[in-house]
Amino acid sequence: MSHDLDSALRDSLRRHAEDAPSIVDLDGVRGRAREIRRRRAVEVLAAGIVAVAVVLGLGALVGTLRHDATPPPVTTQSPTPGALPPLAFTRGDANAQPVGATQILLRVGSADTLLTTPSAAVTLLGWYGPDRRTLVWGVQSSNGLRELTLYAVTVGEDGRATGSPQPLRIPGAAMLGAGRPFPVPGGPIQLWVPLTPGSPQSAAVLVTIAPDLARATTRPMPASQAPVAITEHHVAFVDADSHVTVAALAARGVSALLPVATCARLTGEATSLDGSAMALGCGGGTVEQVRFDDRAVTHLAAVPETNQDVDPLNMWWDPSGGIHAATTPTMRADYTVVHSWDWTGTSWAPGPDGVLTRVYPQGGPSARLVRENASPGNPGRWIVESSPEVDLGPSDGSLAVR
Amino acid sequence: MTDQVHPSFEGFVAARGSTLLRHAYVLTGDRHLAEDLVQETLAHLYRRWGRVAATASPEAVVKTSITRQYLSWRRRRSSGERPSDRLPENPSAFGGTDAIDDDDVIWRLLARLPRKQRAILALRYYNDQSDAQIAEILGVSASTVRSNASRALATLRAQTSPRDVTGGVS
Repeated sequence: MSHDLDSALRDSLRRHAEDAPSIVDLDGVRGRAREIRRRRAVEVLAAGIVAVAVVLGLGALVGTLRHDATPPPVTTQSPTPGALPPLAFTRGDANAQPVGATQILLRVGSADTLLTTPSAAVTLLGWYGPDRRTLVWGVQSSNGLRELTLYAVTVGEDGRATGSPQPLRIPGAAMLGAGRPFPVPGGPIQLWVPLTPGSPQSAAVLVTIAPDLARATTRPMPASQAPVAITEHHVAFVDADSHVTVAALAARGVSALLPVATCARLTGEATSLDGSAMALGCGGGTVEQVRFDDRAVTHLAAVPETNQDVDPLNMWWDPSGGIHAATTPTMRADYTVVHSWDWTGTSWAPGPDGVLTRVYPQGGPSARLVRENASPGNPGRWIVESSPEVDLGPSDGSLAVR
Repeated sequence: MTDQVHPSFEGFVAARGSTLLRHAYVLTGDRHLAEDLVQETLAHLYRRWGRVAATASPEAVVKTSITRQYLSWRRRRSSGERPSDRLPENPSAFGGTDAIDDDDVIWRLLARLPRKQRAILALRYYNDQSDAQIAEILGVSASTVRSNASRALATLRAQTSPRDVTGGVS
């Protein structure tokens, strides 16, 4: 039946597509483009007038309050990349494509190294190896499967890559298969490797890659869908019906899978930075917080600006255990408005606009990914929250700070 | 005012316009809305066509924009289209005859799905895109794609009997 419905859908869509109109009215397009341009010009002018009015008003207010004081000289400090810790991020491009290459910019001191990876889907996992000089990332293959192949490059004393990126190899271990990586903050990389990639239910192995990249241990995993979270001590699965199960990792596998909650519809997940809990988006903006050790579930209020058809864009945790979410009230072809929300324990309080996520490197400054009036294919820009802040420029969303 | 655009904009529209319209049509299920959607999207991309044209696949960029525009569109024209979470009890109840073609049944049921679900099915079954690719296009997680697809298929399955989708025209 399922196969029949698939075929029926495919046939129906293809047959009806032939009924589509065949000619685009170019004059209509040009006319609309001119209209859009005029509308934007008016908006910019209006915004400018408002800004000038605000500045003049503030100036008058400050002048009134401090009429007898000599304004101190305003000093500015230019952001200096040299002041940043070593970092890497996937560089965004306004012309980025669903398919194509991704650039990774390594910035160590004042040295920039640009690496090109032949995949549109690249996720930086972090810095590992001796002295944490090896950047590890996952690359999605072009076949659309979500499993990633891990690559690595090592940076020398001068901040430059010592060679070209290579598939990650662990001494004494067999070649790593493609899998779903879960980097544990300050710990190993947990790599869930399905034995039958692409299958909705697959037996798998869990490869635990030590932070020094000197060894890897492997243990069997039960047949399941891909996990939604793996920490140093636990693994969580959500099946096709959104049933959630959690198991403790053991030396030779996992303990029994224990049910903890049933999501109405899984829409996203985030794991606490200390590995103690996970937050599951469960449809309609609802969030369930699940503690791993006792499987206690806390139901959070629905995230604002979400409904049955509009899910949060993202959720993340901060080191103090706070949960945050990003939403968008509108998504258009040429820009996206992003709002962020902070869970206060009882409700969601508005956070800063434009923030899609934050990362909190151990010992380093945090960084936020902001999206303001970005274009399609250019999800945002990373800003390192140092003093002063440093805008790293467009990025497609992945950052690793050493 | 002289419009400075990439010289191949017209060439692209001439060459790929019908493909874009088919893409928009399977999303909207309405010829006029499809034309409107494609025009609106191209108008937004017109001023920065140089950057779009410089990409490896301008068509993919435009299709992504069409899809996102469709999902965010506020209805500005009377179309008669009313996406709904609920379907009529019987496909034949929405104006057809007892001799509805199987394709027609599916097509009409699709037109009554919520937009996101319909877009996901169109991308999956018309454009043959993977869930990961659809997630990238829609700016959502792959799990959201899977859950929406699952709900949409369940809705369709509930409204079609095996004969409806496998048998011939009755």
